[in-house]
Amino acid sequence: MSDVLTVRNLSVRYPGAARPAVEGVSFTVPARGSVALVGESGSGKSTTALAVTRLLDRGVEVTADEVSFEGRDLLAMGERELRALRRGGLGMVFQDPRASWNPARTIERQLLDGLRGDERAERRERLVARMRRIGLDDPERRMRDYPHHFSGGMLQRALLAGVLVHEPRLLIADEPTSALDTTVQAELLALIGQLRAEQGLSMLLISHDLGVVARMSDHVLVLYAGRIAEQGPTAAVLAAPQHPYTRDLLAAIPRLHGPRKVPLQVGKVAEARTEGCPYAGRCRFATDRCRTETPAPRQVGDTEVACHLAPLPDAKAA
Amino acid sequence: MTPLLELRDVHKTFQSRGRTVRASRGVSLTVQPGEVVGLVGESGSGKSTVANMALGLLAPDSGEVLVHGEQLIGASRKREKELRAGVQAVFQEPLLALDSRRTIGWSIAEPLRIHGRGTRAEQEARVGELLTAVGLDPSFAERKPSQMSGGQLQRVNIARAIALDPALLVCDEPVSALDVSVQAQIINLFLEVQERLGVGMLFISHDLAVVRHLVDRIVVMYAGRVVEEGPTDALCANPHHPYTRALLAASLEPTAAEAGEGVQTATTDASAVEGVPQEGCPFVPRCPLAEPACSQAAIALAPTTPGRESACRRSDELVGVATTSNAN
Repeated sequence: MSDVLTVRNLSVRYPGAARPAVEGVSFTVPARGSVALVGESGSGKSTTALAVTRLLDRGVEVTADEVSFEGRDLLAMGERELRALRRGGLGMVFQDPRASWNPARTIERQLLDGLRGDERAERRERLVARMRRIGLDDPERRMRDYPHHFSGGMLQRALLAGVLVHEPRLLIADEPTSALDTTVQAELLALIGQLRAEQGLSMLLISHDLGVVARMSDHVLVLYAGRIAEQGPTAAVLAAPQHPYTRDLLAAIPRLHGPRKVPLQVGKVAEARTEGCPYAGRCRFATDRCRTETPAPRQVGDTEVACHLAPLPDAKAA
Repeated sequence: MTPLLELRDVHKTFQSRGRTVRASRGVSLTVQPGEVVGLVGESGSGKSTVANMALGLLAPDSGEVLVHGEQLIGASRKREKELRAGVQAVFQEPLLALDSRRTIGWSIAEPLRIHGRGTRAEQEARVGELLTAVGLDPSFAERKPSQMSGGQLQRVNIARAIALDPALLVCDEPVSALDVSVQAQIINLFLEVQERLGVGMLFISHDLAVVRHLVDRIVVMYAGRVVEEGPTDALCANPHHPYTRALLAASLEPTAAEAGEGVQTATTDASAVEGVPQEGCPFVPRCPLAEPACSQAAIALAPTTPGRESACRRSDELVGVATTSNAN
């Protein structure tokens, strides 16, 4: 199966920053696949998504051996071609449902503007069909409403409808449900799952929430301080995490089962290091080598991990 | 035993954009001395309104809010000040309670000054103790809020909240804005503070897993009403209200068993629902168990099994039926 998105050795540096926001990140999104970038603030997950979609400001330094969508070089692409792509094969949904909408214009006008060609009536009909599919009751009437008449969950759905009407092959979703209530999030994720299955859509999901990532991806990259700490099949990474950071992250999440009212396991508090392994300052296992030599990614079992010490002892215990 | 905090049939209605929002529709709850109670619900459930009424920041339209058995609002000024000293708050936004121009030490000492506790030197010593108690170096007293991370600021807020040795902490989403690693540190700090000081807590969050980890008893709110209440373990193992079941099913955990499985929902899509019905059970439009009778009359909170209450006509059918989602 061919890859929809290929990223090789991507680095991003903001002007004046001491170290790169993203460094040496490589991954592919296969056709029909779902890949997740997970990490905490400062991990570089959103910057990676913005670099791939060319949404970073001018002046931000982006270098890569390759960033391509269906074999086309995204970094060399002109503005017009990019715009066409964003209204075509490459769809995007972002976190804040309100920020994506102009409050002064109706939902219908904003979505129709995004559609190319065809007669207005025909475009409208396509849109109405999509809106019905994403669960909007009485779409002919409700589409004439303004964004403030819609709930946050409904706006995200409408945005999704506006993206899917272009029949994209890849959906890039940056924290698409993070601003929503738990049950509304579940409903939107269920819908995204159904639509992906129906349309054979690939997905690049960016999230801080490992619970969401677990359900919605089949391959995951765990980012720390702009680097990939670990990547592999989602089930393998969750079952037997090989990087100390992945383990610490999983242990820090309160659960719905098992012991409670006991301290959660947390790593030491320290800034990311600029020399050696960025996690060495927080890592329980760190050695002198970790503090001086940056670990290169290598295959350990089912996952690729950037840690000198992998495989860690007792990987299942985490 | 006189409860630390008691809300009795509290109602509160707001006007917003020409619409009436019934944020609290007959809420009753208690926090006993030393007890940690979790208040769970989604946006619009009224949980923050309850927090603000418990703190005396908001007066109820009707019903009573009692601290140590006394009404906060309406007490003499002197008595109100005494009662307020015993109830302290930690909010989601760490900068809310801190003055950006002042040092951290100044902000932590503020409640001590307001309530005239100790001399200036004693207050300074107390600030050092409090910083140490929340895991920060006493030298942080000299810093400004802008020089600190979100996690450190939340530690400062906790130091400030425990400065007067309160009997009750009201915490409104205190870890929601934090990264997972930092959130875990603050959760651990709450556990430590609770154990060391024996302080009672009303801990409010939208995150059921966070609440489960910290509290003895859970109160679930939906659309201004308490829909279920019970001891933490029993409630999470077998919710007696369809909304609690939906909330539990929608709380996603990072487990390998469910990797790539997608998400199933236990609710009728909220998207199809406009507003909350004024008559009958508010959950009807989203409830998988709803039947016509549910829309006719409001359902009161009623005992289901010992120590448990649920506001659902069909709770009996859910008693003993464990949730299957997330079982691992």
